[in-house]
Amino acid sequence: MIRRWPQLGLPLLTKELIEQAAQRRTYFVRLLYASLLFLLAYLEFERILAASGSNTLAMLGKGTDMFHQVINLQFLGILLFLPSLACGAITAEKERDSLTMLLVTRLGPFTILFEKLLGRLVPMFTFLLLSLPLLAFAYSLGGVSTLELVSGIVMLTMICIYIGSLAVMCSSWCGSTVSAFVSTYAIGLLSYPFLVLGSMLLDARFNTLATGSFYYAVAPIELTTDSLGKLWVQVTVLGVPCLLFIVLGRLFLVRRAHVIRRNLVLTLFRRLDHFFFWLNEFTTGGVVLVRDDVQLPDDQPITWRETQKKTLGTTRYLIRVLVSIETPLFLVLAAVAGMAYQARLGVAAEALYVVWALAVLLIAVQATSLVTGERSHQTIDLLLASPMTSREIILQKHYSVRRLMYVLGVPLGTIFLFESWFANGTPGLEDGPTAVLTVPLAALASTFFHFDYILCSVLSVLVYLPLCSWIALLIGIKSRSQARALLVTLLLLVGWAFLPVLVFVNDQPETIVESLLSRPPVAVAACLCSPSVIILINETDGLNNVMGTNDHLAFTLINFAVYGLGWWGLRRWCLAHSNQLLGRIADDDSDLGSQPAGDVL
Amino acid sequence: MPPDDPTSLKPTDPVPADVVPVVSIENLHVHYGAIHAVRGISIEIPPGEVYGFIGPNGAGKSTTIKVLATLIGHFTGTAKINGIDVARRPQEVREQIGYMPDFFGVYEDLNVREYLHFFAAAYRIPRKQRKTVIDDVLELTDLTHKIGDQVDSLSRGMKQRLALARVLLHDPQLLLLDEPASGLDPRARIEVRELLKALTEMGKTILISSHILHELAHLCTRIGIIETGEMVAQGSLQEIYRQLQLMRIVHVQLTGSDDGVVDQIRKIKGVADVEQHVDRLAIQLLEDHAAVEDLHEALVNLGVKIHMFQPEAMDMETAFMKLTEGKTA
Repeated sequence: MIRRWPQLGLPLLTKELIEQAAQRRTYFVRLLYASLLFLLAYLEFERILAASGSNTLAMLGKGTDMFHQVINLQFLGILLFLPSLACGAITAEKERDSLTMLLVTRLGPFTILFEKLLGRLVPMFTFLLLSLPLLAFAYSLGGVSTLELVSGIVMLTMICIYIGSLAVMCSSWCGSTVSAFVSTYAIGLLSYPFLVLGSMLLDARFNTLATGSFYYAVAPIELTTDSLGKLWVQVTVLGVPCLLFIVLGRLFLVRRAHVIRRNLVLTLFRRLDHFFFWLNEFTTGGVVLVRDDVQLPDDQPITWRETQKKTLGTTRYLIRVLVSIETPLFLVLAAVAGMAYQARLGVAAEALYVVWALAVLLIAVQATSLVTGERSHQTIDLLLASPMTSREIILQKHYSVRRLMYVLGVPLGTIFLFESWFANGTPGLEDGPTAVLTVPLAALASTFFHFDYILCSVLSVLVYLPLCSWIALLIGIKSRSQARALLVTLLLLVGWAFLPVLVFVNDQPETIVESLLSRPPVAVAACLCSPSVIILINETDGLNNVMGTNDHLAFTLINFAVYGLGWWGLRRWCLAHSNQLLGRIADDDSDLGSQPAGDVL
Repeated sequence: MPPDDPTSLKPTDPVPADVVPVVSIENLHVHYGAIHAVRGISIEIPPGEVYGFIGPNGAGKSTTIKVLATLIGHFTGTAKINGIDVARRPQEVREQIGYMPDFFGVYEDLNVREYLHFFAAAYRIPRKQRKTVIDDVLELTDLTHKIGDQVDSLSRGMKQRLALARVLLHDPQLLLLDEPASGLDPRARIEVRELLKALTEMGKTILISSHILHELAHLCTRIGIIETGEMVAQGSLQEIYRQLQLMRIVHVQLTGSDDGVVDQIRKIKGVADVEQHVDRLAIQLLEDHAAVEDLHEALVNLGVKIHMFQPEAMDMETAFMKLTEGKTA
């Protein structure tokens, strides 16, 4: 009898790596990542050089800053890239209906999960390897202990495994890549208090309380430490959940192999719908202000379908979105009105950032789905073979996003109103019962005192939201699936919002705005490279007016003239190239004539 | 070029000079990157004809139809619908075609009425006429009773009929049907075939593709066989068989005949061979030398009593395999 030795082979991992190696974007992303990492490290080194003056000996021992900068950048890279890399590990197989085929092979569920996880971690580890020369250089400058160097590498590796296993678990649970992507970030945020708790308990047990300052992004975790005990604690704090995620992922892999794909946002709003229905019955006895009377389409069939038949596009659901955001926002802002000046403005600014993030996310989801949805339903060819022009198709599709933008403008406007009222000293708040009338009037009057702030804020909404929507729409047109379109859009927007800030403001995050305001030319350049800079400046300077009204207005007008032009240009380009983008022949008298269909991502 | 080379087959019965062909494709080439998907196809389809486009999967049928549907711009050669150049005036072409792709695009949030109203609006049918038009196409496709049903809940056969209703909304002269019977059960396939016959009787010009050979044999007036992007034969079924020198098998039962009769039959003009079976004779007839009727007459002249005379249906699969030499994409 032939004795069978266990064969050591990782066929799935091999397949994953070969697939990734065959894709051009793997090399493009790696090159982009390396370029940014080395550029930012170089800027940090230049700062060290400038601080050392002409004395080269003064550079000795200054490797700490560069070391921390590189580790922080890599951490940011993991947070941005790994969820998008790993969340499609299992869902992509589900979407292709190929998971069943994998499950009936001799590969066990655990092996499949493990190889899928490794298949996503290996590319991320190659990203981490890029920083080794930089870390070695920082180490050679001095100021970094060997244990710190080792702890930095170990912690980045552990965070990779933590986020990777979380994303793969979500991928096992969810039916679509988009749901897995959103779930990864959501569960990541929810797990944060548990990490804090675990860290505190273990620190107390082993007496390894942190001695240095915590980094801004991961309070319970120090990315580098010079204490071996602390390193073990942190490895344990991250390692235990990793095991839990892998075990849960293994369980979900088989049980949810044939899970029906659901629209996560739609499911959430349907549940909210039940709540609102109950609330309405309970409070008003069932009064209905807005009825969804579905009529047949008139002359704009796509607009009709987007606004009357797609659940998230209907007026009723837009009101749900508005109420879901506006109610907690209003309560929070009203609750902090009595706090000290800086505190209430700080809370309002943080609320603004959250609402902006939410608005961009919702617009990206909606706009990327416009054309990818038609592709996934195989209806795009039916529309393209109809006499509707490509321009009409795009504009009618975009109409639903416009409605969403109007809705999202309301909570943003609410914050602007509250902030100007807060900055004006909350007049009318002490008026007792009449405050219901006097406070809104006082808030409106406050906008006149902070005209420059309000102008900048309103322009940000009027320009940035449409700009985001057209970027997302364009990426959606060029992408095969909504998941890919959404990931690319979010990576692009997040990168665009934060990377230029990191390049131009080579400083600690809390001093970004001060640093910009102290160097106006740099601030102008930063504004023109990143749309988020003007919002940061406006929130810091718009109400306190350190710069002076004229300078602030000049900043505002230059910034929004440029971005407004960008939006207008992008919209015009999309419409002029609509035939080419949608893969359709254009009439000879159109701008482009007969052009080949654009490549799809 | 040798006469038995399938690629030497040329289209027969060209469209008369005074008739503008509904479809005119000349030397069409389509590339997808390095893949040469369509290689110099030429087709002319006169008004009212049902042209069957046969070929294995990946042969270039759908690509050719997509060019006519104005969905592919990167091609060389000319493609015209009713004399209108597809590359130059696609917008006019769209008004004149009804395109049904090889998949059914589902708007799961619409019912049948809304689905048809949606496309009626997309085809710019005046609002006042829409209801009448939709009622008519529903009646034609026998879907009137399904008007309130969700599109997603329909069976595959019904979805195909709904797709046919959709392409008829704007009363196009040309229907481009890409594998309309693909994946249907036998009943649904027969229903679709009957519907297509009705459309033919209405005078529609139809370009229909399929890889199921006998599906088109009953329906098409002309057939084009395409393989790896090249047209290997086109013409009527009979013409194709004749050009390929395919033999027709005629099964005959004779009463009161002896063995000498078989030798006499072998000598009849056009008979290639005679196989003797227990209950019948299988006569292999070269149709380009003698028609089936001629064989019958010759048998009568031999003085034999014919109990059964049954020409076998032309085997299109044999024709296809011979033309494509068994190759698939």
